[in-house]
Amino acid sequence: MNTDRQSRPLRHAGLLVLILAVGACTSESSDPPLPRALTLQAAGPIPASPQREGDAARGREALLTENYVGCGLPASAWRQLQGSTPIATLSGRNEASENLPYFLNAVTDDDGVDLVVNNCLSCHGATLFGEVVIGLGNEFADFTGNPSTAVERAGLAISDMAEAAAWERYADRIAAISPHVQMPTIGSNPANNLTFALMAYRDPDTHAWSDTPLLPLPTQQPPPVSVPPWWRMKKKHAMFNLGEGRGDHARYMMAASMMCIDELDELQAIDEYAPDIRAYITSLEPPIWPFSIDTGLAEKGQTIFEQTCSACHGRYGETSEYPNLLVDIEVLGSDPALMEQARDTGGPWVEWFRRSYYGKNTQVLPGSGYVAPPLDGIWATGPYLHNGSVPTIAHVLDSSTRPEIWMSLASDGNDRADYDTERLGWRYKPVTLEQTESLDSNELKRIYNTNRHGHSNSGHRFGDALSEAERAAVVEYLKTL
Amino acid sequence: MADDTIPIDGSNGTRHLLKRLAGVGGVPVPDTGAGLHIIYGLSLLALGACVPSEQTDPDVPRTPVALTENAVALLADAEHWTPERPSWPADLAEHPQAPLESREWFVLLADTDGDAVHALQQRFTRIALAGESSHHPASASEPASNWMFDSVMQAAGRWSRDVGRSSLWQNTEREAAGLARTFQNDFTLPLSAHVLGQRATFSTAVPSLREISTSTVSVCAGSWTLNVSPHAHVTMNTHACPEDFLTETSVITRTAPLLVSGERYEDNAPIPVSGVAWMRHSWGRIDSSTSAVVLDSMVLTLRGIGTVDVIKTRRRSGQGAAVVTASLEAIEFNDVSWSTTGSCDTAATCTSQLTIPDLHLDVAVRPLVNVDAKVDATVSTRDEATGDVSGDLDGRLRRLVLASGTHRGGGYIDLESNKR
Repeated sequence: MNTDRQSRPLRHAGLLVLILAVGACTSESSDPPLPRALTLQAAGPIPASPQREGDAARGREALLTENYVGCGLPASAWRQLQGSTPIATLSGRNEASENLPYFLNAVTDDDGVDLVVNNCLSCHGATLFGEVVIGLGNEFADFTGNPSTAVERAGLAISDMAEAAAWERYADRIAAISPHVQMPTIGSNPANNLTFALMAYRDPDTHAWSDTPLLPLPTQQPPPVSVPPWWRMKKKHAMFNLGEGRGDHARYMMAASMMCIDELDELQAIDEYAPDIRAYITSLEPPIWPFSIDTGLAEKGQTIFEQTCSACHGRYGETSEYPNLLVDIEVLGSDPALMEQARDTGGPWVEWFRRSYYGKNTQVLPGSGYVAPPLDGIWATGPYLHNGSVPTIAHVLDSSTRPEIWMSLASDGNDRADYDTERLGWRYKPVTLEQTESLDSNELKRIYNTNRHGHSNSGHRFGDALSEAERAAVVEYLKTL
Repeated sequence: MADDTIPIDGSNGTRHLLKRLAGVGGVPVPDTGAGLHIIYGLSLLALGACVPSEQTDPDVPRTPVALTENAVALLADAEHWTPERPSWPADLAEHPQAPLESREWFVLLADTDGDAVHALQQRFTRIALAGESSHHPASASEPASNWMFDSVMQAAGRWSRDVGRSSLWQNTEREAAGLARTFQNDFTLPLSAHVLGQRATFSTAVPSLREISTSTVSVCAGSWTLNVSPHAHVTMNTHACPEDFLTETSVITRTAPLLVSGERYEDNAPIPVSGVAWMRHSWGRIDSSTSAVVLDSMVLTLRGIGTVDVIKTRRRSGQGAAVVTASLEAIEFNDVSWSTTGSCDTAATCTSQLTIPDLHLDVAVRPLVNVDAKVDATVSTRDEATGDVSGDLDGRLRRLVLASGTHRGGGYIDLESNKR
């Protein structure tokens, strides 16, 4: 009996609960029918917004203990299904959660049922060479299957009536969003689509869950997202790829509660500690490059970087600065699907957000391109570009070498041998369409096909103008960030 | 669609098989991923071969002998299997503290020379003594079943036979599925011969399933010998690795198709027999039919395809939609439709329609049992004081089925009762 097969799908069903991503932009019109299209924000610097202060230590505790999602599996069922499958734990948690995987919190619901609920680290945490790194986007999360299948089957392990009721509530929510969050490739994240689907089933004013959608549902072919690392948040004026998350970031971070928090007073309770969580997130630092560095080459690379890259990605070191620049899609040339989804269909979702609890002190302003992110810890965050379409930094800098169809050779981030220290990223192999025909299901899930909608590896060709030696120097420099 | 050139034993490999399916080859098969895989696995009884698209089809085996012969023919490609012989019941040592364990065999046999067909159902149930978990290895002197535990408390078997081309031939199958006792000449095996230990009280200190054991039982290829003394001695071979289902209280393992050969005895004279069978092995706690979700499964061996496993979960509350997935070797399918007509809780009349677009598969699945027959799929009851178990241990309705439509074949359906 292979117990590994139980835990993985359950975890990844749970991942859906945690994805924080709100796309689209504002619209003041509430006259039905709501316009679906939006006018996007023009490219340029994004201004800062005032943020609420918080206590980072309290934020860590809340992040890893509180029930801000509102539903999950009964603990008894989870223990039975998990069995002796090895787990990665985190130190410094409360007694109830200390023996759980780092991405789960132990909570008790209002009916006295002990639950295990996902926390933010389901997507915003990952193991790197054997250590849990809080804030590192999980690029190995598996959203390729129907999450409802795993959750429904978990019901086989539940008989207590109170536990069954708690499970069924969770299963209902997963069933509602399932059609909209299934991805073709492991590591691709359906964040934006998940958020839109959850909005569709909620009344924005009362936050009550509806068994039928109240808004148009998003596509069933979600544009993929590569989860950005949290340690960049301290520099960012706006959250998310399109720079749409403006205003109070702590309020945005509460969006994980869209899954099962149905009462406004519960949201208010979460809002009490949300600034603490934000404070903790902004206190995080990136992991340090664990391999050797050619410092001479890195110094050359820094010069080149600052001449060619810093205008968008900023400067690092003692004179650190970050421009918070939204780059127009026409300039960037990257896959436009994420932006187009907001532009063409985001109207109702933006209006929902504006009316909701989350919309107070926030603005949803998606841009006409993508934000050039800070590059701190960039070495650990592959694959690259907003959709994870480019496997290594070297490929980002030389677009002519980018694989059209490729298979990740790493199943998680724990094996140093899976990491390519020359090109900066997880090892992969290029494959042809013909070769994919002989792959089984598990292998196909690891295939990234850039020909799929939203998966293009186009754009960001700025490194093409550099010589091979210059690119190598820049790669070496990026190891130091 | 009938492609007899593809072996059904899995040796062809799905990837190659898919290439041969029009419209499938060259296209990455959608993942169902999620899979689910809360541990599942199935077994099946492969009947089928040359099965008609309708029950009135002239190809329909008209007699139990023909039915069995066809089933054997369907499995004929598997004769080269060279299973390792597992030590049974030594594998039970993998989970000696399971308070309940049962093995059920469903065997359909035909005389190699002659027209008699036999249905054998044999169940062994072990319930652990309170506070005790020890067990003994099988001894050579152990009678009949070779089941040897100090805590074995139940064994039950039934042997039915039908001679000649009776119009009631379907009942033979029904007997084999354990659904009825209809034959005039059937007889019940002497239970006393199999009761090896004292009646047990049920331990209240029930370990969680994973504390019991998670070790793999290596029976991916193997054989079991069922010695139903003095009636028969048969060997059942399997070629595929059984997988497990985890329910709230138990683990259920079902095997791939079993090819059966051996002898039965009449007046102490051996008579060669052959046939097909499946085995169901469950262990864990007893009350396995109270979970929030009920589980239906179907395993079909189809000509030109191979063995397709289908799983359906339904909420006992009646809320939510059923979730259906299918797998063909390593390929999993999410876009699967399994609809039923008729009452599947209490009647044998319900039929199924199975559709898997990615395989271009659309078949009607009909039971071999008499359509008017009523069956009881109520759940089991257990006396807390004595540990006595009565009724169907799993609240399940089992039936052998024939499939027809885009593909032909046969197999086994297992439907769980909605009743708590």
